[in-house]
Amino acid sequence: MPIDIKEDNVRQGLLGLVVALTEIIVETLKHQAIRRMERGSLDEEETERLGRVLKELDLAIEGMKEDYGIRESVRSVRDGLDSALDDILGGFISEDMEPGDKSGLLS
Amino acid sequence: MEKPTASAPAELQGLRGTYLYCVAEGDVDPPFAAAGLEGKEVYAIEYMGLVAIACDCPPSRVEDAARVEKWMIAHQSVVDKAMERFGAVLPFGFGRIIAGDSGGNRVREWLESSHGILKRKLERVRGKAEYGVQVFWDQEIMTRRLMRDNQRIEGLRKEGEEKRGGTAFMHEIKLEKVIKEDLAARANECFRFLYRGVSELCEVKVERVYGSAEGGRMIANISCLLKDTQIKALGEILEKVNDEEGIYVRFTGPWPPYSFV
Repeated sequence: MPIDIKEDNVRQGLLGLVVALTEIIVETLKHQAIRRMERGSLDEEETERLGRVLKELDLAIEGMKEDYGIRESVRSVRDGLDSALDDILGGFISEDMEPGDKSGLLS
Repeated sequence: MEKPTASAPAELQGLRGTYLYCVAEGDVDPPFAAAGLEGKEVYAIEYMGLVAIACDCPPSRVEDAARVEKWMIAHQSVVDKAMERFGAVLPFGFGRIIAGDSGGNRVREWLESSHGILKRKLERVRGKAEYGVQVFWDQEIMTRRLMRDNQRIEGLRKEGEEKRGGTAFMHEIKLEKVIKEDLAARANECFRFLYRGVSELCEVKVERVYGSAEGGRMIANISCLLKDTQIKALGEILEKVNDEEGIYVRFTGPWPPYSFV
């Protein structure tokens, strides 16, 4: 879908936000799918179907990022969310963590 | 501080302020002289051996980024000079102004009421300077190394080659997850090595700002309070960290101890 280059940044930003959030939701779905697969609660057919759906979603998201030219916009939304999460989690340092422990936050 | 009255708007122009640079300990004979913000003459406010370095400066709202930058440079230069002269300083961050006419008195009162604490803090930083250590890593190089050296990942990858369609994709997702977890664990290990090594040597503060630069992502950002004599030992730790392929250390300083006051 061609983008009207004269369009303002607001549209880019909004698209970036929407796609970033979609990406995060899909990542959560992938995460849960893997857990089910590892637990053995998916049979071969279900694994195959789930895999195809997730692949389609992935390709659709990549396609949108490419077509709308919002790769940077999505990246910066993700980075911003990561920082916000960091700030929140920074307040919960457990005894076995050292300050700066970022396991799980590096994406 | 008196509020300016509506009937005399000209009084707003007369608003005075005292801009604060740092606190130090020592003798102001010969007097400490320096040029501060906007070239204003810097002076010392004393109380019982403690010295606050300040200058007159009306509180003002400045939106010009270039001007702010000039001011920050002036601020740093005064603090640096004070550190040279007095040996130990407790620097204020940029922009501390006490508004009103009686800034000098209020500072003196504060020096009196916080005398003990300020002296202790000065002792803590005496003879030391602040150094910044940041560690970056190249995500691509680290991923490549992991795929090359890690048996489990190599095994998973081979397994994936035999699969097709949706099942292959599921496997790919799993592989990505394992790689991501291993990378995060590696980054953590690196941070822990650095933090443990450095904190045995000196006081360390972990900074919360993480960014990326020079094509790498920051995996550690710490400030250290060090004596000259400890720099070599710190250097040895940093060299070990930097030696690893894909990991880069950036070492900055010395600074006055902004993070340790």
